[in-house]
Amino acid sequence: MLKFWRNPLLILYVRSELRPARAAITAAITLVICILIGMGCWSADLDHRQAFLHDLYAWLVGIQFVVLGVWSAGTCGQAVARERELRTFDFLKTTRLTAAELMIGKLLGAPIVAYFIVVCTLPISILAGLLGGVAPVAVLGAVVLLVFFNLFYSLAALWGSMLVEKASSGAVGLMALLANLLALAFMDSPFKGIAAISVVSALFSLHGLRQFDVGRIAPTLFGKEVPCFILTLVLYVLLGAWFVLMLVRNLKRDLSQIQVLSRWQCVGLIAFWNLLFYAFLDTQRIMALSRLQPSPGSYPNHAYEIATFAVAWNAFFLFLIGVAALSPPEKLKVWWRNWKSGKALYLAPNGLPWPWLVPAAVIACGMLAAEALGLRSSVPISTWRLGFVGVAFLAFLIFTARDVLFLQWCLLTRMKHPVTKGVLFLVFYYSAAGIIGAVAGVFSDGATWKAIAVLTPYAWFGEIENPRANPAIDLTALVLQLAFCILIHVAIQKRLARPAHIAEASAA
Amino acid sequence: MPAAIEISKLRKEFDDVVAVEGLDLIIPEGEIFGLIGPNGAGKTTSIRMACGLLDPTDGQVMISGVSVHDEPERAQQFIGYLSDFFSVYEDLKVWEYLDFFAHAYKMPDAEIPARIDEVIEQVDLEVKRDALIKGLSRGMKQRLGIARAIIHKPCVLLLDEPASGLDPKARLDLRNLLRSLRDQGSTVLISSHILTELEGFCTSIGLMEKGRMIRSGSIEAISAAESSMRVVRLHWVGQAEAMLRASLDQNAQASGLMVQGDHAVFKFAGSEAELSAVLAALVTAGVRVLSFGEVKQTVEDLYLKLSHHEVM
Repeated sequence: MLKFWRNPLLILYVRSELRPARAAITAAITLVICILIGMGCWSADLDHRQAFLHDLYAWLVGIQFVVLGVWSAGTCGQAVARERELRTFDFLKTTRLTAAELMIGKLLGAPIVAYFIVVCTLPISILAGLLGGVAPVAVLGAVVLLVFFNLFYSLAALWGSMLVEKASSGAVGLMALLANLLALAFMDSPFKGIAAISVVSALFSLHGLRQFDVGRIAPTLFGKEVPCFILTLVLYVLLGAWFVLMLVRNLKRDLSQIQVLSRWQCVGLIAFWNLLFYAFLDTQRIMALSRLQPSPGSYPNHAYEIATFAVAWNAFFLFLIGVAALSPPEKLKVWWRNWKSGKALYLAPNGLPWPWLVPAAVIACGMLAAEALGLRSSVPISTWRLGFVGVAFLAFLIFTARDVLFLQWCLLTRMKHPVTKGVLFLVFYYSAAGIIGAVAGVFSDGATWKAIAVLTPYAWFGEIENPRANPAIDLTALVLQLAFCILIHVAIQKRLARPAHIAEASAA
Repeated sequence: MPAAIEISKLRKEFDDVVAVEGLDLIIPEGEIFGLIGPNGAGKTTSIRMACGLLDPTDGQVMISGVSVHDEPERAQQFIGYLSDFFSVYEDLKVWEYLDFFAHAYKMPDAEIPARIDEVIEQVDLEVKRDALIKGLSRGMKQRLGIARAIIHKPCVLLLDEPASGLDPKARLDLRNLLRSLRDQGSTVLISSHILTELEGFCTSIGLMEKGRMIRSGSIEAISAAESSMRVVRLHWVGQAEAMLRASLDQNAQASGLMVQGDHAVFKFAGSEAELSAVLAALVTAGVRVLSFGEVKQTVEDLYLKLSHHEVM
């Protein structure tokens, strides 16, 4: 492995983006902007030198995060797709650079101008912070956070760029920043640790800005309170490691041959997300509130509410790993031929992805049961309603298997962007199911619930919270969805069984 | 002599289409192998699989004894790849571009500056060494592409339609450059659907059609296998048509004489020794022979003979 500062791609970006004249102009403009911001802060705090420097520090740190976040996510989000468009990526792939070296080169090189701008402003912001009365630990912590924040979102954007054909689609990398803010919605929930994924919460708590809600987040990890800043760094490292795994696995592959994660990695990902889920769970709060009926506030606090949330959490990640494990059509066909001739197992790594959802769901269900057992001295097991939760897991497993099979079928068709279109079809289906449920409610009170129960798995959330003895509807729903699964499976088999024909040559 | 390129049972499917089917090919060291066939015959797919850009559905490719798909990074040190698209990083200088690829191929640092100068000289870009790539002409960019492909001294060059879009002068330069690389010991696999491009330059050829290799080997061997009849052309001075006809009529191996002015073409079914005897007989009969020789078949002739005549 090359040392990162000797990475040829990084050197390439430095040479092409930071030629001396351009670097000098960039530095000069950055300095002018810093001076202008400084003058603005000074005019607001004419008589208070420390307040002026503190304000300048706050502005510069904020700008550093915004510039680095947006610029890095933007450039890394286009880094791979752009090279594919220019057809230079093939030449990169035929060098001796490994996927890891390519990733490091892109990660450090693509946003090189943003790094340069931030490096130009760092001495000013550090100096302003120290002279402005900000604790040195907070100043240093902000720099560390900036590095981790940038690397994490650049990795996320680079991962997105690897999966898209056009550089313009890579701008979706910026969406990762939006997710950063959405995580703040969890700051008052029993899963405060999720909010720590937002850099805002880490920055505010680091600087002791307790006058804001976001600065008062006290996340817990396995029941112990941990500083938000530390948790943010840990999350960036852990989640970043998954992006690294996916990038290293696929970066040198042709777009048509990308399989985001292996089947076992998918199962591992579910275990990881569940571990995070229970690590973040504020058990003290559950213990205190599970005796109340109903639980206060709009967040899940009661044990059965936590169980419901666990089902929703896992349903989402089951779907995601199903998508990540979709087999490239060519590999699926090879597996199909081998399976038909008895040379491969049905559970082979390149086979259909749905069977691998089963161990993932079993792990998710098992971890919830283990959590309930672990807390049994404080929270009675019966309050978790594990029986209903188990059936809900089964229902979500069947629906997810159906959706993943549908996406796999889409991938075997000749449609363009099959996964995106398949997901849009599913969104359309679930929206239509919701509307059908609403319309059915006009004619009969229970019809909405029945329609939703048959067409979607969401009625199971209600089942856990408010159990209704209606096994006929539940059974009908599961049987119907199983029938759909079999139908899609048959359609996939038909697709796979179609003989390949020899390419027709065209006139030269 | 070990094989520089060894392709066995290579197969590639896209959707329901088989782009390459059961491709077997062994190219010894020092060959210039021309892969010819119409567009869509599977040439590009084969080359992309050979250089590790595409995973084959089945089969494998060995370059200098290393599997491209099992040990891709190791195999890449032996491969120089050039496609028909001369994509380059426009914001770099010529030497910077080559320096980047030299490092990307993990050449020893100490060797890189001298090697850059060497290849720049080889592709005749000395005057543009410090110029930005965006200012180069298409031909120069193509030469730079070749320089990139050979910077790490690969023993195998995989060239996919490298001359497409080039002017005649640039094509000639390319041929000369490839010949000199062959003389230095490189093995070249070059694809093209423009047959004249490969004429007199490849030591062996492979004809691909509909994803299959329909024939491969040296041009002479394929010619000999495909035709038991030699085509002979002769040129004379003076009046000789009657003597020529009389002499050839007596030879059962000669047929199909066509005379036009002071030259003629006929078919001959015998060996080279028997053909030399025909020449001796003609001279003895009084024909003042100016030139006499077998007409070698061109790659185009062979292609038309062997292919299913779907193109060209």
